[in-house]
Amino acid sequence: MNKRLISILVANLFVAAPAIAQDFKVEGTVSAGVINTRNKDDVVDASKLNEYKDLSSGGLSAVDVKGRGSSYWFDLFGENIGRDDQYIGLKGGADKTFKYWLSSDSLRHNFLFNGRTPYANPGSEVQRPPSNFALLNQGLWTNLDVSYKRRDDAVGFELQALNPWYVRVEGNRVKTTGTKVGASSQGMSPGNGYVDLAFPVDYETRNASIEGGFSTKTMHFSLSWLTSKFENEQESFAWQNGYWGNGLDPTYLPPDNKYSRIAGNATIRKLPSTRRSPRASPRTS
Amino acid sequence: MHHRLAAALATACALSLSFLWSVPASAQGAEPVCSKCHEESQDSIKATPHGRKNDAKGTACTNCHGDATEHVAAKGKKPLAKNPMAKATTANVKSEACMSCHSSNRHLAFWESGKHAKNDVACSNCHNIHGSAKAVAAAPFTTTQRPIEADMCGTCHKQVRNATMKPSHHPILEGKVKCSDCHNVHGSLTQAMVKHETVNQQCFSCHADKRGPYVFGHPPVEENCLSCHTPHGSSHNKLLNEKVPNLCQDCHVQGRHPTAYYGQNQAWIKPDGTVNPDSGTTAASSRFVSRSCLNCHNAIHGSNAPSSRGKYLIR
Repeated sequence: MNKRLISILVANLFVAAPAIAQDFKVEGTVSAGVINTRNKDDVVDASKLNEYKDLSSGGLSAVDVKGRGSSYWFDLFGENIGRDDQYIGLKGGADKTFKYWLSSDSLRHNFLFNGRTPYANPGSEVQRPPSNFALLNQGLWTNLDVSYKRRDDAVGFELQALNPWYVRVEGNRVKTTGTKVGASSQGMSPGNGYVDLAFPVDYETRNASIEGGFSTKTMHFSLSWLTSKFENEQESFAWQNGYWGNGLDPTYLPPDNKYSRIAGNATIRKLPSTRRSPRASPRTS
Repeated sequence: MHHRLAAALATACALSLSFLWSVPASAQGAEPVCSKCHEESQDSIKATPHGRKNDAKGTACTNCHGDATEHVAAKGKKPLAKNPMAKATTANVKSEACMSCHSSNRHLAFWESGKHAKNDVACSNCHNIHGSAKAVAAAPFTTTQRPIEADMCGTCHKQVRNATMKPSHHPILEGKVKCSDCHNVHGSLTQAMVKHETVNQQCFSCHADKRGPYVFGHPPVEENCLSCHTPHGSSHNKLLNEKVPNLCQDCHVQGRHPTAYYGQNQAWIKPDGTVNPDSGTTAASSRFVSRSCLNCHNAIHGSNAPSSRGKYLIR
C-alpha cells in the first residue's frame, strides 16, 4: 500500500504540472540522519521508553515540500520513512475550488520487551507449553515481546467550487496486528489463580463518510452518512489450561461489528447574537 | 484486492480531474501600500491565502485591521481609527473580524455555540496570522518533527497538558494523536466539544474493537467510557481513573468478592515473597497482584462467551 500511495502522489504531481500556473513555486527540505541506540535485548525491558516510538538503530529521514501558486497549493510531508512510526501525508487543492488529502500514519504500541512465558507460541491461535504443566523448568520457557503495529491509511476530497454548496468524501482503513497482554483464570473458576497470555490482535477497521451541505454566513445545513466496519480475523484463541487437566480452553476476542450513522445539522444565524442549532443523528450498530 | 485497486484508481482519477478543474485566477498578491512600512507583516502572509488575495490598496490588510485611509494619509503618524485586532479589543470583536470572511466555513458552523467563543477565546489566540511557523523544539518524548498540537492547547488547558505526560497516556506527545482528533475546537454542541455525538462513539472511532454489541455487556461500558477511563493521561494502567481493584469496588461493594484487597482465608504476600503472618493463613491472594480483578474478569468490556464464563466476563 505504501508503494501504491507514493505512486499516486508522484503521478498526481506530474498530472498537476500542466495545470498549474507558471508562478507556482515549490520549496522544501529533505533531511536524513542516523540513530544508534543500545540493542533492546541488552536491557531488561525498554518497552516503556519505546511505547509509541521506533527508537531502533537505523536511518532517520524527513521530507517537507510545499507548493504555492496563485490558486493551487500542496503540502507534502513525510517523516521516519521506513520505520514503525512512519508518517507520509499530502494535502492540497485550489482556493475555494477543492481540496484533497492522503496520508499513511503508522504506529507501534510496545507493551513488553524480553518477557518470558511457559507457552511455546505466544500470540498464536493455539497456545501450548512444550510439555504439560506444571512447567517448572524455566529453560523450556519462551522469550516474547508484546506489541502491535497500527497503520491508518486515509484519503479525502472536498469540492468547494459549487459554493455555497459543498461535498466532502473521506475514508480510511486501519490495520492493527500483533499481540497485547491479557490474562485468563485457571481451572473452571477463578479459584485456581490466573495465567498471563499474549492475546492475538488482527483487527481491520474501515470507515467511509460522505457529507453534503449548504454553508453561508447566515446559515449552514448539512447531511452526512458514516459507516464503520470492524473485522477481527481471530475472534477466539485456545490455550492450555494447567488446572483443567491440561486441556485447551477458549478465550473470546472482540467480535466483528458494524456502525452506521446519518446526521443532519442546521445552523441559522438570524441576528448577531441569536442563533438556532437543531441537530439529529440516528445511528445503527 | 480488487476493491483496493479500484479505490486507488478512483483516488488517482479524482485527484487528476480535480487538478484540471477550472480555477478562477485570484489577485496576484500585489504589493500593498501597507508594506512600505509593515514589510515584515506582508512578507509573513505572502505565501498564504491572505497574502495571495492582497492588492495594491492593501485590501487584505484592511479587512482585518480596519480602514487605514487616515493612517496612510498621515504617513503612519496617526493610529488606525478602529483596529479590531488591537490588543485592547475584546475577543468577540477580534473573532468577528475573522468571521466576516470565514463564517461560511463548515468547520465554524457551531462557533458561537462552542465553549471557546463563550469563554472569550479569539481566533488569534490560537492562529498566528503573521507569525512564521514555530520551530519545533527538541522534546524528550517524541520522534516527530510536526508541531505538537497539545503545546498550543496546553497553554490554556494546563491540567490536560499535564495529564498527557503521565505514564499511561494516548500518544499525544509522540505526535500521533492530536487534540483535534477528538475535539472540534471550532465549536460543537456535544459534551467537551467532542466530534462524535457521544463520548463512547468518539472512543469507538479508534477503539472499534470495544464497540460490541455483546451478549453479556458491562453497563458502565455501554453508558460512558469515562466511567472508568480518563482520556488524557493517568498514573494507572490503561488510562484508568484509579487502580483496580479500587476502581471496580467503587460499584461492586458487595458480592462474592469482599471489598478488601484480599479475600477471606487469603493472605497478602510481602515484598520478599513470604506470606504475611498477620493474615492468619498461608494461601496467597491473586486478587491484588498484576491486573487484580482483571486477571480473571479479562473481558471487562463485554463477552460473547457461552455460559457463566461470559456472564461474569471471564472469557
